[in-house]
Amino acid sequence: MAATFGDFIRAGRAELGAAANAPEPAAEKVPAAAQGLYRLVAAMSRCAEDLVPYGDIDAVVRRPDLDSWMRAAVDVREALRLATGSLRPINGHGTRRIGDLPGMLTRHLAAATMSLTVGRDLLHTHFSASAWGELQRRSDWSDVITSEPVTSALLEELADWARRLAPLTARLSFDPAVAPATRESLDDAARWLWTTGAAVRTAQEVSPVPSSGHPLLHAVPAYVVPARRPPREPEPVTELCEGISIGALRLRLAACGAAEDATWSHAVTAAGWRSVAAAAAAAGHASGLVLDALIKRVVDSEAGPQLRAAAAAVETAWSAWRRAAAAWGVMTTETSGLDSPKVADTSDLLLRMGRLAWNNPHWTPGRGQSAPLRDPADLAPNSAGIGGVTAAVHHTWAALADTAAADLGAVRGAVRAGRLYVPTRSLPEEYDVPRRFGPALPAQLDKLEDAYRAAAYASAQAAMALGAVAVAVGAPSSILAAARSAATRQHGPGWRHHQDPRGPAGQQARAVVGPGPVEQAVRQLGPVDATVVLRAAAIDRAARNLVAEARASKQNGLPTAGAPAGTWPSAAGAAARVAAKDYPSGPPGWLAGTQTDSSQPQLQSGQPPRPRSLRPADVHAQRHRRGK
Amino acid sequence: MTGMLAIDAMRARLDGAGSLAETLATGWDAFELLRAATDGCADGADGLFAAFMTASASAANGRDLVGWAPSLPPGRAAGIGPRHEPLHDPDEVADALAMLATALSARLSSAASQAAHTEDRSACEHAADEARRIRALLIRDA
Repeated sequence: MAATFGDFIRAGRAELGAAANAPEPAAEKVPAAAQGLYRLVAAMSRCAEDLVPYGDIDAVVRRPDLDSWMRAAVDVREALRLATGSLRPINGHGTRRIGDLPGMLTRHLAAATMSLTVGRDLLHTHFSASAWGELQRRSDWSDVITSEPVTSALLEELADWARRLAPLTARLSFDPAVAPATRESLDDAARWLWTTGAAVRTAQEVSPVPSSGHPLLHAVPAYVVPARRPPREPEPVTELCEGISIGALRLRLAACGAAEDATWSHAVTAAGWRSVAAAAAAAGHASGLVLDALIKRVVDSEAGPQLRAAAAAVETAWSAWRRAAAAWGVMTTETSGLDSPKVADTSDLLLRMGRLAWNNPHWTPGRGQSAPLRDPADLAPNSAGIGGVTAAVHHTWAALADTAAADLGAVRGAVRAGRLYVPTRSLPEEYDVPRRFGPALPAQLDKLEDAYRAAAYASAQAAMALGAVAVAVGAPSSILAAARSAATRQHGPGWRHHQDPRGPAGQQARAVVGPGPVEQAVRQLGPVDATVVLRAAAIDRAARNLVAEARASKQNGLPTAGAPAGTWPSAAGAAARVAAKDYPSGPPGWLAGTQTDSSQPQLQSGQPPRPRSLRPADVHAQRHRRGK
Repeated sequence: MTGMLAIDAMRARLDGAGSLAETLATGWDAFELLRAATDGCADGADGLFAAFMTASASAANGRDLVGWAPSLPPGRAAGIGPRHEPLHDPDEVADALAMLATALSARLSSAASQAAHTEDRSACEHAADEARRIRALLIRDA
């Protein structure tokens, strides 16, 4: 079983608790403890950085569509950065002599840092970087990690850690034997940690974290593709269900990135797609029989109507898969073969689902292995059995929903790449093609795409209906239902691009450690609200990023590169976006009506205006609207 | 719905196919008939649904394999015989299709042994495998 984020969070919390109860370190050990604190707060700061999907300025200018949690994310990130800056050793936190052992407090802080860092790495296993440095999803957990419930839960977690660390940090500065500079930096850090803890309060009041937030955050597993487990004979019901869940997970993971492969991979073939669709229809049909048996087991319970609704949805879905298989007709690709792992996984799914449905441990789709249906009491003898079998069917349809959606995208990709052909011997006489194969006809392609669209929709409906059943019967797949529900609730465009620390903007960010001009000006006013200081720091950083971007583009002699369509601008591009946001795209208002461009034809009355070119900010805004 | 008459007619065509080119052309049509028939019979065949669906995919694969054989003559397919026959019992159709698949695998295996061209031989051998798979799926007693 893969490790989950919760494993590391729990371990980290335990270390924080132990750190709070650790004996006060002697004055000479305080610098080492401060260094431990610095590392932990820096790790928390990196976590918070992940959660801000917008440019800094978006939060600073109080964009009305920025929700309270995203504003909190910006504030938490800034407060943690300031805390990190306070703790950062300017001349080092002193030196450790060989043979010095770190104190208890330092050891617990180091262990907590390790837990949080590994936990963050675990979340990152669900993303990969494109050639443009943009984050791309690798699994269906990617959308869960960037969802509203989970990001707000993680912010709450970070704020809680900060609240635990603040008194501990302040306590370290009490000892007058500690160097004044160290005491001052600890005091400063403690203040920013308190601010971090308080930064989420408004969001908590306005929009409490959904009940699914923390359980989902804790349940995020490491991205691991489990090894294929071919069916063996005989497998008891529990093993069949477990095997189905593993195969379904493999299919869900394979669904990510399938569309790109379809445009070029010779392993992606019409034969493979057709086999997957046929096996999906047959496995779906068998799953309907399994649900019929479950209905008999829960006839008097509250789950009965939900199960009947799910069975109806499943019947619609497997019929749709059957039409998708048939829609291939005589179409083919330039390569053949059934080498795709998806073919093996759907075949395994079919075998195991058939063995659940029919009373024959050696069942295969062959007619010679026909058998009577399995006795419902044998299939699910108790509530645990009902939950297990429900989970197996639920996992199956979640996988088939993802597979159908991926295959729809892949078929579109294959059509765009001109990879679908028909044999000319199948064409009517009026088609005069002097080769053995010609491009598939538009009507055939439309029919194929429609069939996959219907399969994707119907399968998603079936998965949703089964999710409700899973929750009702307390099936182990309940968390999958919650995850799929949460994944639909995104803040916007997803996790922010990670600044490349080796790039100019990253170097700039590391080089500048002191407060910027806006923050300094705000601080000179005397005591002000901490949030104002946070926003000032954000403005300074946006400005630094802009300067770094300008410097990089000047050094390269190139205009600032934009990301390709469908990706998010880089950190440097984000700075340009911020600048472009308030830059007028047309003539100033006072010029309107007084000047005309003689090179442009004048518009006639009633003629539609020419579309103006989009600014980066417009593109950003459009994508954002689509993402909402 | 492609039915018993079409299956009988296709078996007769297979028996009459002499040359490699004729075997390939008839084989292409036979696989297409198997595909259409198994696909059509899947509806209403609860116990045989998985067998028909899987056989349909195998038939399409076999048809494609024959389609890539260099000796497959150009031109239009001869077709798969009479359609829109009255619906037959799925068990009865499965028996007839299993027999057709048996005949098809035998013809293709024989053609593979006679083929001079490596690609023809490979296409016939692999297509014969698909025909055997269809037979195994549809035969009453494996």
